[in-house]
Amino acid sequence: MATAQSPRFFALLQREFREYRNSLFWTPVITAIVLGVLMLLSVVVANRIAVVGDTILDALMSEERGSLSVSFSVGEDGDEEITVMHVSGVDEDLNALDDIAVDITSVDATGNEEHKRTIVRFGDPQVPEAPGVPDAPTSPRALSYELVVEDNAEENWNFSREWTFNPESANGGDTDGDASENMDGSELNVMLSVVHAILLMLLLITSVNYLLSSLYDDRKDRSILFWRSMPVGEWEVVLSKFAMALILAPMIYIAISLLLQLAYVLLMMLLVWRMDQDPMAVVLQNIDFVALMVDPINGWLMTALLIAPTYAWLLLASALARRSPLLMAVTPLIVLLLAEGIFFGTERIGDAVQNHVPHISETSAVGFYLFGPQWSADSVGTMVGGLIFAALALTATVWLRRHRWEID
Amino acid sequence: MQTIIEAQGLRRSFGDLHAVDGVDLHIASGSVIGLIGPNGAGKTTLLRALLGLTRCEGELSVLGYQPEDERARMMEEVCFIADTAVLPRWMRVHELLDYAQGTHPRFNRDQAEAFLATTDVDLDRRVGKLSKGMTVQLHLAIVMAIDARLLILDEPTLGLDILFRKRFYEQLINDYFDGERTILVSTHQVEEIQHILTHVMFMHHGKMILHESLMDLEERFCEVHALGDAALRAEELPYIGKRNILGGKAFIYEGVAPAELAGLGERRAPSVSDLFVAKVGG
Repeated sequence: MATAQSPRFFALLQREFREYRNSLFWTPVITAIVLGVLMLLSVVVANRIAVVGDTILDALMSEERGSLSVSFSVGEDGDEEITVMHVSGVDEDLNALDDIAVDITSVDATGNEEHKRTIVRFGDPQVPEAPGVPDAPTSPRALSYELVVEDNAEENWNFSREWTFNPESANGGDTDGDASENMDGSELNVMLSVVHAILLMLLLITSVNYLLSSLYDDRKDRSILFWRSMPVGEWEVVLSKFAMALILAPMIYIAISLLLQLAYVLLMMLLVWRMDQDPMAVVLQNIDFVALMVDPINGWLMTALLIAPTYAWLLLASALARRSPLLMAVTPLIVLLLAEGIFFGTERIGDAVQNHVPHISETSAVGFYLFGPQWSADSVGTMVGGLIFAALALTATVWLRRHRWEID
Repeated sequence: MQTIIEAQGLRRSFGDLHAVDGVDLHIASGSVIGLIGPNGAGKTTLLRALLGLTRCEGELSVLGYQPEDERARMMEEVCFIADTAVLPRWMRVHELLDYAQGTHPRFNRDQAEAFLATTDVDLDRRVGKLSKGMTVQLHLAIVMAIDARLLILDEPTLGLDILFRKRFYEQLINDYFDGERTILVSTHQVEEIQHILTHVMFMHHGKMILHESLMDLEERFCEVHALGDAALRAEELPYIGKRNILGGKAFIYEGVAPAELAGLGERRAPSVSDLFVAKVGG
């Protein structure tokens, strides 16, 4: 029996995939290709490193919005050592400050003079200095100070290349709010997660569209009469559609996202190489490949558990609708929300719904886990309640498919 | 001879409208039954009830299954063609065959492809791009490749031209019907299928007004073409239908002994369509 059932379910899933292959496959593929080509263009065509380079460096520094980032580049000009310090942040006032130049002449015990020049620049560097000889301050309003220091400077700074420093490390955009980890070799994961997030947003949009039309379109074009002439039970049909949206479509999207992220890593290495830096050290050491692979899957499994009732509700609306599945999905919710607000003054339904709809609030991204599970106190209750609701909604959907499938 | 369909007092109402109003059925295997009735007679509702597609009151057993509760299992042995427009338009022909192969344990793909090879249907075409006639041929190809015991056709040739219609029924009888299977077909075009039927059922206002084998039909009903004065005499006998013909009138009698009709004119078996008009319209 099991052997007869599995190819049968496969045939049902194959049918779903074929009907919606545009939204389930070609949409993410084309999006990934577009994103990849954009990245490639910025690497190959741009003579200057421009936006993409900055973004990667920012990601390397795990810059959190509002914090300062400081980068140094050191070079020599004759016997003068020049240090350029870039200070940038999101604060516009800070970025608008003029350059400050400090000339330090130190005289050691033996009477040798050593000239050091330190330039502090504010704002994002338009043209990052190549390691070697930094430019002198160009701003006519640059403040200039000269200091003569006599001491026994023993420390010999030896910078072979640009290095960066950031006072705060934070996983910007990370939903689990775990900002305590410092540079742990996964800085670029954060940037790659942006790519992943774009694909997941797309997944949500296409999934909602898929669920709303999957039990409505066949009734509208009457092909349900053919589907029901085959020996396939309504449970099988509904569950195959549910599994498609909840498991298979996300798997396709995640796979495409991982391929795209891999392409991005290669392009980043190319970019870094063009910046005369070591791709291995700068890129590869900043990526946690295990997390890159596992986090999206973990994250989706968790999301799937929370989003299941929403998907089941959309299927129910699709099976129930006579004209517009979308209105059928949204209208009862709005009515319930308003009724509850007016008669009870509470927001329980709203909260319950919120727990199962991916969204980003100020405190967390409830129901939407890009980076693996995070259990808050009420998650288990919320999840179990949601799954019970999902089971009820699916049962109702099957009943509707059996008895109320005619549109007029 | 097995009993394929057994029904007692089938009823289905939509508000005040009694689409199926107390229908009793007994259909044995190996018959080809024409279900004939005017628009709105309840044919489609009856067929859907037999297929478990709509809920109905009364007792019903199809191949020993309760259609509404055991539809999925029942459909392994029952095939259904609703009309020309129910195949999914977005699907390609070979994808449709994949689906049938994956879900139907009695589907023989080679047979379907062999049948399609004799038609203009291209396996890579989308169903939506096929003409109506080709769509019906495709559906027929799928159905004929399924080893089923009961085939239900609900206006399968609606909107097709006469060549397609003729070919459809020829293929159905020559390539599909084997004396064991049962075919139940509803149609308006009675004349075209009369020669392939073993039984006819007339339905009117949700009621089954006639359910007879064609052989019995000839014994029970008689048509007389009475010319001239004979028409006046013929009119005195209790006829169920009359119509004008060239030079006289044609009468259809039910259960009148042949001896009584002697001398009135030429006697013949009424055509199913004339009989239908007499029973329903007359």
